Amino acid sequence: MRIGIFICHCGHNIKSTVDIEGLKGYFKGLNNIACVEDYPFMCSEPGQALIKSSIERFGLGRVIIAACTKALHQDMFKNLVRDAGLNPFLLRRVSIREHCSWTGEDIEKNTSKAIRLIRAGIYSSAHYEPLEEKQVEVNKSALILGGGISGMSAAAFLARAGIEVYLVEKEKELGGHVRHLEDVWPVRERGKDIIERMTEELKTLNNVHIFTSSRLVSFGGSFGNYEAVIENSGGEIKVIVGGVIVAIGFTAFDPSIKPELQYGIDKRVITTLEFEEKMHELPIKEGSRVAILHCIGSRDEIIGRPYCSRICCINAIKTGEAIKNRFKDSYVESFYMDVRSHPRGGEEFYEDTQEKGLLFTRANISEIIPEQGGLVLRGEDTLLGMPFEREFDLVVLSIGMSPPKDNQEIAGLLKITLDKDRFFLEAHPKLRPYDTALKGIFIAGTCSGPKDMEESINHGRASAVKLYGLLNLGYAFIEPFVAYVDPKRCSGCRMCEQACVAKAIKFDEGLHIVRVEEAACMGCGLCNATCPSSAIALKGYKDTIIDDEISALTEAV
Amino acid sequence: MSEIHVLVIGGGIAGITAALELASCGVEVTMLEEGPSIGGRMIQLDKTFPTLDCSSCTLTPKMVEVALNPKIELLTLAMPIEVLRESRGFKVKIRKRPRYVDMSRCTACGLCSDACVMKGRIRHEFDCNLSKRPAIYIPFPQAVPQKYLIDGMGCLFISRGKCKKACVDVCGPNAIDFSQKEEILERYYDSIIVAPGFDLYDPTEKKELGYGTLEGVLTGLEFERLCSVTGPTGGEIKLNGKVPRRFYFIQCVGSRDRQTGARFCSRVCCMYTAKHANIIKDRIKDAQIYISYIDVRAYGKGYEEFYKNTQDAGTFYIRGIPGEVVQTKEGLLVRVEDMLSGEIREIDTDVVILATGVRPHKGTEELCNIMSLKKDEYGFIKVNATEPSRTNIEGIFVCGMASGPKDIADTVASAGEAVARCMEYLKE
Repeated sequence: MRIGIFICHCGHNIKSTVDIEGLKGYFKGLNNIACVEDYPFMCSEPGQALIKSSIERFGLGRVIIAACTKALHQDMFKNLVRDAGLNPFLLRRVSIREHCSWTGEDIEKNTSKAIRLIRAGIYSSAHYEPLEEKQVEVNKSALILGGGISGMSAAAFLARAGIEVYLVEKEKELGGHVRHLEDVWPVRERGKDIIERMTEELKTLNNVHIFTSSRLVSFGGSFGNYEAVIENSGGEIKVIVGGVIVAIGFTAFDPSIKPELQYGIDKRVITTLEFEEKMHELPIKEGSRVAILHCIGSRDEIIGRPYCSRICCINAIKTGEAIKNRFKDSYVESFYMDVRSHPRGGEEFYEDTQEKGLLFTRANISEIIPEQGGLVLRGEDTLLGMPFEREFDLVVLSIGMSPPKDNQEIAGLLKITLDKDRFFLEAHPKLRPYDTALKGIFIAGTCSGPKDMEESINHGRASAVKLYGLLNLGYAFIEPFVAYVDPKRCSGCRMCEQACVAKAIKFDEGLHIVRVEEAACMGCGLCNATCPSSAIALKGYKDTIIDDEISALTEAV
Repeated sequence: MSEIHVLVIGGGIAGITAALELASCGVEVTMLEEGPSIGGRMIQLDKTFPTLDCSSCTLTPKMVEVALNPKIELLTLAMPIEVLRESRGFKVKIRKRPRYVDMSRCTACGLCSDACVMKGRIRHEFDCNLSKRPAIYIPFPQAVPQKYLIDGMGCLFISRGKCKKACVDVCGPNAIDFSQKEEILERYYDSIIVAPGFDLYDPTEKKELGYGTLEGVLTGLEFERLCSVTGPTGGEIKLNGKVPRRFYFIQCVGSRDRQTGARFCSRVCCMYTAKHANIIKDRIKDAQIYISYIDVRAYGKGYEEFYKNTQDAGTFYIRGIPGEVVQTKEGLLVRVEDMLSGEIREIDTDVVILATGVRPHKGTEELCNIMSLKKDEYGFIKVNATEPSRTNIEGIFVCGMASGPKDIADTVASAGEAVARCMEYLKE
């Protein structure tokens, strides 16, 4: 067997804490090693060309790429190997970045670990077999969870592109939070008007099926053929969809968990959302004194909300502006940590509102004390370094975004992951901000973290384009890592059948052994672990592969 | 849909995302890039916030995908010079500047660069002029396409007609072709996505900060090149051969500043400064770092935590923008009013790094003129928050920084949105 080893410097990432020359020297000249090459970025065009030409030149039977984790660029490297005429399943990625160079700074130790990791790659890949990806049919249909602005944007695009859309909303009507906004910044329109326009648009498209007051109760299958059960008062509806967009939005932060703010205790303390809804019923008049508090439920580690909610500074400024516009002689003071008016036009809005007389004070507010005459705010002015007490008639809390209420349930059903703040986790924060680790399942809008309306629309439509790109051909290739049975070893005990969550294992009464339905198998390996006679295994993950990998890792170097 | 053809103008992360998404939707794409390689601003960066993964590692594979995708035609050194409406699409005239290297023959071996008599004598734009290059060169090792080019202004033979042409002698495949001329192509496209990107504010006019006059005053992008492994120092943070120990960062240079005509927030400078502080702490253990700010805008996912970690790792934040930077015997001195303590402070430093704000790319105005696109007061292409990629011209869409400052994640999402609108337009 002729093996080629390709070591990536990853710029500084690997090179600075692993001795690349030492690594090369160790493997050069060992049995079966046909070539050992290194390059600053293996993923770049010259790096790829180096791998391709080496496969051809040395007639390589195995390609070991020692670089970043397999989670990155795997399809690209597989295609490269395939183009060079080698079966892509004879490629082995070894992570000497995430698993090695990033973990410590001791060059000697890292280098010796990198040697072990690459050796493990060589030992295990010796047992690899050429495999073929399977072509499966893909349903040109999509399930969208959440009928807010993001989900509606996604639905409109997909339906126009000819995809059958099932839009599921748990509330009675579409529109999410935007529907309830009296004045949407920066378009200065009623949220209800924006939502009704979009709803009308969706209703003209006959391939959008809207389910309000509905929820997802069960979910299974695999990319191209996901099975979802939607439940509402009419009963259960089962749909087969090619892919899913999760756009279940956020929950408004509930400030009552901070008792020092008196929210829910004193009626004169309200949230920005409540201000939007009942602006005209509030007891404010000319001469009234109003305080606006930023960062309520954001940038607050004590209550487990360390993140910035991205929209509340603008909401606070908008609140102040609305009061000032109505009552020129009111006194409105905003208490902030940093003013984050970053959206397009936000900074100008902030400046212009200051000119209208809205005051901004950089402060930490420790508590609100309700008095007969008013609410006393106690805090520290962080610019003057002075404690203060000031009395107000009304306090508006600019509340942040908390994770959606159904996050845990949806994550469980779809088998997708939540991040540390319990929003949904994206596949890559920069370049794949709306993908999940599962093919065909996307997360859009605020359910993956705070966003403003424009950003939520961008997310909705952008994730819809990605899903369309996966569905529009009508077929897809799936990985061949499915279970297979050695009929000579199978005793017909049927333990694997019970272990299989995908219901892919069927018992053959005549032969008294089990067989695997490849289309249904998810490749989870549960059967493999359960089988007492080692009769069932996963293609690409045979026991010998794992055993030899472990041997190589534990052997003395 | 194979007969549908869309033009994407700009080969940065916005244009690349748009082109790849369009191709995955079955559309034919032509990508125009005015420079010699795609990659845009992002490929100049060393690392990206808040994950600190290297820019090249995430972007180069996408660049290669553009080059290999059979549905994407990549034209470099090319810009549109005329765009006329024809039925629902556009007739576009494209000017293609000569590369003076035959792309079908060049193997990117690099012998020509070594042989060039101008080697080490021409300022290298990709490195923000911090390094020198020959007249025949490749902008950076991972460039796409992997083809050398001759800079006509720098080349002695092209500009003065006199050179021994050592490059021609060493070029095995005979790829160098001085006879190449500018070409004008005429094409029809069904729709256009514009993604010309951005430039950074030139702080020379802010004399008090000393940029251009004092040694050791750099812009953020220049510092980025100093950190980068493909940069002039191979990624070692060194100025004139010495490793600096004291760093002073100034934020909002050319943002939130009426004097420079930019009232807007540039959205990325707070975070790229925090990133720089992290990179320094990682490479120079005993570094002393100060950051001057007005408000720290760490608004994106994971940004607040990143900012907090930067502070915890020992970077000092000072609220207040310095009044001046002056030369001293030992280096530089920054005078700043610390608004939290109310004191005037004088801080000695070796390097001052200006977090310069975003400006529309210099070509944006010309693009808007030939396409009749409306601009906002700063020259960014005008859009509306409920239809973030739709321009005033039907069938022309915009994404990325061209419509206003955005970080990379927002740029990627805006590119997806532009593709969605474009696809809807094509299906109407």
